[in-house]
Amino acid sequence: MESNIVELFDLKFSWGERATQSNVNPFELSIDHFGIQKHEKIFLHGPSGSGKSTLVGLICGTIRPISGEVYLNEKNLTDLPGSQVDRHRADNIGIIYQMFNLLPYLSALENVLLPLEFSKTRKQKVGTSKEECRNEASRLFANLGLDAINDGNAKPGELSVGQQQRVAAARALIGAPRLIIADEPTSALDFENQKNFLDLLFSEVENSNSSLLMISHNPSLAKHFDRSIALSNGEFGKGA
Amino acid sequence: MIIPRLAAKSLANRRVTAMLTVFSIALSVFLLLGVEKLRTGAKQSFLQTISGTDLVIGPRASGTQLLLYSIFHIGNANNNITLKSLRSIEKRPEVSWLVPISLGDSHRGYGLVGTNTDYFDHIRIAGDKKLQFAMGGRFSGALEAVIGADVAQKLGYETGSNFKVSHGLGEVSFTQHDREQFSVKGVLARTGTPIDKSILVSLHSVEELHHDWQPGQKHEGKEKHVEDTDQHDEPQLVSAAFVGLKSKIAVLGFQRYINQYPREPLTAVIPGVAFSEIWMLVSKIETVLLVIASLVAITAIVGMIIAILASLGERRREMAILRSLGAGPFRIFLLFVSEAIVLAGIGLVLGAGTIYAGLWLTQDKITQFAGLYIPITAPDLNEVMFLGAIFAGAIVGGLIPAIRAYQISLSDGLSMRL
Repeated sequence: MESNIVELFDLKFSWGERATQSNVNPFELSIDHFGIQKHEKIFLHGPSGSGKSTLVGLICGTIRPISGEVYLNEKNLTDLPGSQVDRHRADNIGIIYQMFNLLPYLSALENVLLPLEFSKTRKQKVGTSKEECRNEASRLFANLGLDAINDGNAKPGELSVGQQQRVAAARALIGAPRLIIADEPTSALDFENQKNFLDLLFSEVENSNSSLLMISHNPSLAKHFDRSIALSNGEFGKGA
Repeated sequence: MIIPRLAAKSLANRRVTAMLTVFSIALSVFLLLGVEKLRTGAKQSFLQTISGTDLVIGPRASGTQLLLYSIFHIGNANNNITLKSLRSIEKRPEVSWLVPISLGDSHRGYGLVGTNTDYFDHIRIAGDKKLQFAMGGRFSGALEAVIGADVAQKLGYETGSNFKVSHGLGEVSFTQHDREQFSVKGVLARTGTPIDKSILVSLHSVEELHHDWQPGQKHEGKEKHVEDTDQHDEPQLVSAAFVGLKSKIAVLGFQRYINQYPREPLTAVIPGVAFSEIWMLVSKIETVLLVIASLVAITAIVGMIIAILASLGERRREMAILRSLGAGPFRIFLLFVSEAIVLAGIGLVLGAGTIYAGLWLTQDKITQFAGLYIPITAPDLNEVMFLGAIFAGAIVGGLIPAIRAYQISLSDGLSMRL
């Protein structure tokens, strides 16, 4: 147990409490226990509104539960003040979104190096000199099949969607955070690119000894993962 | 620091809006500094219209009135003072120098100033500058004149030109002293003071004009010749006198002495003090100008707030990305505050830079056309305060979108709402 990257206990959360949002119908998430082990690759699927994004928010500490405990790399996020949660997230989690992952005003390289500005831990893993950081980014670019943009000076707008997603993956992976969360990272890609992307992501996740939590509503991808969990109406389905 | 760098890059990405915002802030800085520079410049040139002169002595009159006609040639002297009194005052141990002036005649609207050549030695302008000649030199005999820069320019006179003088100060006069012709001996360099609009002649010349005159009556009959001039003494009466003292400390005591002068009712004014009194009358206009400039500054800041607020909607994704990378809501807040700081900072530098560049380019022209000498000096305390106020205002204004961004990033968290 102690070695798990993520550990949720008796978690309860309701959007009804935070009625300021556009969520009109009260939504509740309730999880007795959920853990992500080291090196584990988990596939989380479920229909829209089943609570996938809420779960990610809880693990990342940007959403606070009503009750229960959220452990991220052995720290209880529910006990920490907000600023420490943010730092802890920066140290331990890399996130890939569905699309538009990159800050449009930074170059691909600057985007990839950005997490190192927010996390000393990850920066130390890469190396403190500019040179070492650039080398690591170049290495990730190469491993993710981004040789074409090796210098990384292109702005996101000049890249294809597939390339943008790989840059986003490189950004999530740099400094080897313990957990990579990928929120529908492939849905903007065509089938060929989807598989391609997943293969590259997997090998890099393994390379950096990270765990992977991938969210998708495309169940056909589930077979590539160690474990598959279904979420519906805020609860885990059987076999979770 | 990563946050200001991100703010700058983000702004560069939206450079059209950013540049317009910067431009409006720069404009307001330009206006505020410009008004302030003009104001202090105008005040400075006004207060320094005559420098080095410790007292102006004239007949019993209000100090303001005495100053207006003796220095600005505005209005008329109601009375004269005797040269005899001045001569005895000049002998007082406190007095370093005394220059009498006699006013009342003019040529095409430009006032004649009868004086002696000490005028060129003692009258100082703009700090401690002596009068410079652009052409020719001092008058030496009767019916010779030294003209100011404006007179020369507007009337097209140069050394050797001749002109006639009329009685009174109007531009069109029906009583001409048409027998005597003055010839221009010298043209003064521009001073930015009423001297530019003056025609300086000797006291003898003035006396010559009025020789044998009954007050207000044109003399008929007897012919008079220029050659006679030297036989006449200085006039018995003059309009006023500029006095320099040996010690500034003596000014107040000496002023009292003149005001209580036993043989003749006299008034002595300290130019600086009287100038300040006159300037008070003008200061309402300064205030109005400053209020307008301040309103423009407020408008610019409001414009900046609107521009940043309007960008919030499309930047929720940017905020979510930064949050996912570990930026807390407070850092998002700082990002937007930094943006306001960057915009205001560039606007400030640009506006102030434009003012100084503009001054550097047009300083001569301003002196020439407006008679204002505006020195190029580092921002004074007032100006620094204005700049500081705009900067502080922009930062405080920038808090509004920053607080909004803080709230959005807190409630949106990592989700990319649009």
